[in-house]
Amino acid sequence: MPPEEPGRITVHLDRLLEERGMTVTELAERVGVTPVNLSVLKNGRAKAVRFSTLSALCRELGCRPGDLLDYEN
Amino acid sequence: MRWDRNDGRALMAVLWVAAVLMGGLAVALPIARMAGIGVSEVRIPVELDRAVSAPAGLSGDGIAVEGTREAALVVTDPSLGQRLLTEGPTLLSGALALAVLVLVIRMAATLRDGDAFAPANPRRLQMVAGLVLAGTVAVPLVRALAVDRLSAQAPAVSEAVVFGFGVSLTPLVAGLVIAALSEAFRQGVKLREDTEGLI
Repeated sequence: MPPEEPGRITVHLDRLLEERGMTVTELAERVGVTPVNLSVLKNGRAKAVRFSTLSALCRELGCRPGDLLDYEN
Repeated sequence: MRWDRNDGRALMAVLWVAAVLMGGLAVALPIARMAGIGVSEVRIPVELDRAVSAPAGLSGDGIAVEGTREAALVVTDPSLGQRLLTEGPTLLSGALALAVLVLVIRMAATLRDGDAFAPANPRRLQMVAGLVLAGTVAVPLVRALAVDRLSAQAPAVSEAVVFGFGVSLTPLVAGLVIAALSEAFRQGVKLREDTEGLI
């Protein structure tokens, strides 16, 4: 969602990648998306995420959706 | 088979060659002939009231040659008005075809760049459909009017030539199919916009 909206979803992908010592390229290959798209997600510019992508991210990062996504006012 | 960038480049090259040929043969040449450059006579296809006679004796073993009602109205040492009448239908047809090619080239450029559902493409397809449908009606009508005006200048010719025009089914159906394709592309553009930013 654009920053000017009253509430937005934030993505903690960069923190999770750093904790696990994984690069965007490596995770993208494991999940099955392009590194460009994964960077779009990491930088908070994605408009929507497929459940299949979210599921694959959680599988490869060993986390839950709530670890990856948050809601901020 | 998968469409790649080289296929896109090849398509662009073919379309550009077609556009240059169309521009030269179907637009520039009729204009030159209208201006009287290298013109000693002009011709326009016509339909005769009766079929012409084929040479005698052209038959055997159940196979024969018959005359047809198709002919050409020939004007020797044409005036400016007569040149405009005979070359007008060709110029109109060529101009419409060239406009279609220009639009198709622009669409092919987006296909080459991997963006078939570019926002401008549905509108371009609609314009192509409009040009094809317009040409289907306008070109035969202009040709019929030209034949009528030319043959009226010679009573003996006027009696032998049939006035009338018909709309060909093939380009008419093609125009309608292209119009339907433009709607499909419009929905594709909408889907693309809906999924932009979807990971």
